[in-house]
Amino acid sequence: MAVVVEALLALWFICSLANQFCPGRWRWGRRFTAILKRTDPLALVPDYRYFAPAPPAFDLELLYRDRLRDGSVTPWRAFDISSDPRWRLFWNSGKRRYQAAADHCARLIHQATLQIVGQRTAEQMYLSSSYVAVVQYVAGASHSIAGVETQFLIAVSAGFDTRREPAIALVSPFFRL
Amino acid sequence: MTDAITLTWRDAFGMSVMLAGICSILNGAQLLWIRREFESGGILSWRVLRTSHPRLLRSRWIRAADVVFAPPVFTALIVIQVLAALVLVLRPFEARSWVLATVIAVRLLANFRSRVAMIGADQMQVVVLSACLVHASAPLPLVQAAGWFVALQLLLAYVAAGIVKLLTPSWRTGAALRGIVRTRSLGLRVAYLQGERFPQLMTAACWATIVFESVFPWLLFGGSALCLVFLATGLLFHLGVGVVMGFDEFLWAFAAAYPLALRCAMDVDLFWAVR
Repeated sequence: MAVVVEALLALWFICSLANQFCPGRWRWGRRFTAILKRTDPLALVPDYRYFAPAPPAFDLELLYRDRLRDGSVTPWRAFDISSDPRWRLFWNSGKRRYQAAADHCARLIHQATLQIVGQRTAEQMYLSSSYVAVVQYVAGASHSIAGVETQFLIAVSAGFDTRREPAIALVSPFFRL
Repeated sequence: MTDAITLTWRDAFGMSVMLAGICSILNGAQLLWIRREFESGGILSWRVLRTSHPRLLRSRWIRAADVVFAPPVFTALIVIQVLAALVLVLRPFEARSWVLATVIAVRLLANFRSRVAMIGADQMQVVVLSACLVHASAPLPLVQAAGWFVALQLLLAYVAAGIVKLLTPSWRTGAALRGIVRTRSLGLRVAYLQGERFPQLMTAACWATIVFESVFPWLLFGGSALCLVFLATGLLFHLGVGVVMGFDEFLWAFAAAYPLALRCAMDVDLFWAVR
C-alpha cells in the first residue's frame, strides 16, 4: 500500500513538472498536453505559470443594450468588473465571476478572429458554449421593462489608463429576451 | 541550526491543515456569496458548463451530473465543504481522514464543474489537502513522502512561474506589471499611478518577482534557517500580491504549504549535520 501511495505521489509530481515545461511547438509537448486534457478532468495536475508568458494588460468589458417595443435602443450598460480594493486582500468574491466572464469573452474574440480568416463559420460561433454562456448571462441581467431584444458587446479597455480609447472587439446580433 | 527550530511532522501537518482549512472556508464562503451565478442565467450555470464536457454529455452519467452540479445540490456540497473545513480549523491536529476527504472531494468536483472559474490557488489547495490526507491515514515513512511532495510542489510552483517570467520579454522590461496594475479587474489605481510616475519601480518589482520566484525556493535545501528567509519573503510577496491584485485565496493556499516546507528543511539540516 505504501509503495502504491508513494508511486502515485511521484507520478503526480512528475506530471506537474512536465506540465510546466511542455511548450506547444514541440510534438511531445503537444501530445502530453492532449493526453492530460483527456485524462485529468479534475485538474489535479497544476499549471503554475501564473501571468506568463502572456500577462494580462487589458480588461475585457461586457456591455449590453436593449431594443424596446417602439424600435428604439437603450444606451449601453456595462457589467461591473472591479472589486473593492479596501477588502480584497481578505475577500474578493467577484474574481471568479470576472474570470469566467473574461474567459468566455476571450474565447469568443478568438472564434470571431477565426471566422474572419475563414476557419470558422458564424453558426459554429453561435453554437459554442462560450457564446451560449454569454447570451445566458446577458439575458439574466436586469433589462428595460419595455425591452424585447438585447445584444451584447465585448470591448477591450486599458483599465485605469483613460488616455486610451476602448476598442470594440465583438458585437452580437440582437436576440429575443 | 537544528536546535534553533524544532517542528514535528505532526505539528507541521497540523498547521498546514489549519491554513488549508481557512482557505477552504474562504473559498466556500465566496462561492456561496456568488451562488446566483450557479443558477440558470448565471455565468457559472451548469446548463451551459455541461456543454464543455462532451464525453459526459454522451454518457449515462449525465443525469446524475445534472443533479449534482446544479443548485440546490451543488450549493449544499459547498456548505458541506465549509462545515468540514471549519472542523479542520477547530481541530487541526486531530484531523480525521474522512473530513479531509470530504473537503478534497468537493473541491475536485468544483474544479471539474467549472474550469473557467478555476484559479491557481485551487490546485495548490488540493495538493496540500491530499498530503494532509496521507498524513491522517498512513504510517510515518509515507508521512515524510507526503511532506516532501508538498515541499517539491511548492518549489516547482515558484520556480516554474519565475523561469517562464524570466523568458518573457515584457516581464524583463517591467511592461508586464505596468499592464497588470493598469487593469481594473486585477490592478490597483494607486499602483498604476505610481508606476506611471516611476516606471523604474515597475521594472524593479518585475525583477524582484523573477528573482524571488526562481531563486529563493532553492533555499529549502539550505536548511531551516535559510528556508525561513524564503518563507518570510514568500509571505510578504503574497501579501503584496493580495493587496495589489486581490488574490485573497492565494495567500492561504500557499501559506498552507509553508509549515511542511519548513519541516522538510529540517530534514535537510539533519542531512548536512550527518555529512
